[in-house]
Amino acid sequence: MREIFIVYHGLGMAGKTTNLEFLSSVFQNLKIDRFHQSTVEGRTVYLDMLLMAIKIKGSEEKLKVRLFSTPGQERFSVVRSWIFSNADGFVFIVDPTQHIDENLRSYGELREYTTKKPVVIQINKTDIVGEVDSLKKIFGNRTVFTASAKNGVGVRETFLTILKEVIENGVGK
Amino acid sequence: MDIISYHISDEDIKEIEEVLRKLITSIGIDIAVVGDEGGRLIAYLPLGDGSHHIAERFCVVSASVLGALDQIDNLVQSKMNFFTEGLASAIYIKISPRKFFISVKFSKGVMLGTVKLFVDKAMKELEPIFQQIRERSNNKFPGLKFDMLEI
Ligand SMILES: Nc1nc2c(ncn2[C@@H]2O[C@H](COP(=O)(O)OP(=O)(O)O)[C@@H](O)[C@H]2O)c(=O)[nH]1
Ligand SMILES: [Mg+2]
Repeated sequence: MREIFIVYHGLGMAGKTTNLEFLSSVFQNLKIDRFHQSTVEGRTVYLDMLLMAIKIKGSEEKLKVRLFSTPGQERFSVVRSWIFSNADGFVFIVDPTQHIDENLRSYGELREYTTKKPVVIQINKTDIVGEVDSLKKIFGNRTVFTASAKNGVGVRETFLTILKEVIENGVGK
Repeated sequence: MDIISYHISDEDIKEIEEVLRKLITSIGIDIAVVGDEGGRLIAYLPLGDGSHHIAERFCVVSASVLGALDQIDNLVQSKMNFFTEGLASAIYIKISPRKFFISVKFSKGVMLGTVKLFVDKAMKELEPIFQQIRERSNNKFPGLKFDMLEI
């Protein structure tokens, strides 16, 4: 049983659930389960999960990959620690329609968990916000993707990269 | 690789399944799962069409509910069990100090007292297995590489 747990974090409305929804349809053939506990407005309450199983070449075994998104609203910060402390890696979704300080506050919530675990940055909603070069620089040496999750742009790349970084981070340790 | 910090052998799983088998046949239980604090499914019964899917979901929901409830004053960890009931069925979860848990769903026709008794008994039998699993080191995984994935 090998399993990787990846958490999508970022401000409420940044596009985390949209990422998971898109992956769930692209990787239809790998999907084991998908559930999303949401409010009547479609906001994630607590659990938003996509579970996949990927074949490992030359092995009978499959790698399970579990993706979770976090509930964005501040009131849920208490229950996030379960999700964060069980993660092997993170995708941080930047919402360029929100103030950068707000995005960075949310990013800061990951700090204590990302010293030893990889994080990939996704600047989403580039279909409505064109210029994001200055945003990219803020994240220094982290891998940064631009995306439009709503249109499925950059979603797959973000996911495959965090998967790769998690696996490379783990090898030999 | 540091993805899971313990190793479970096929033999461990057989032993765990054996304990679950006794549990579900002694009393009428719809489904019993053993999982860890991260929601990873270790064993479940009954086996059969579609039940793996249900077991996976039951396991991760159990673990995340426990994880969330623990934010209130270590509520669950200190008590080591959790119970909830709906109209037709109920769920009882017992947590091991080794951070594994048994979660069972049963129809409300079955008495909670009986369920508790048998789940506690099962937990006693599983405890030594859990201890062994936690004590074993994790370096039994051969190195996995990204390009080995068929994706
Ligand atoms: N314009 C635009 N809207 C997006 C994009 N991604 C998500 N959204 C919208 O943003 C809203 C919130 O998305 P959701 O995935 O629920 O955000 P979450 O709170 O981070 O899970 C929804 O109305 C989405 O349709 C994007 O790339 N571009
Ligand atoms: Mg959401």
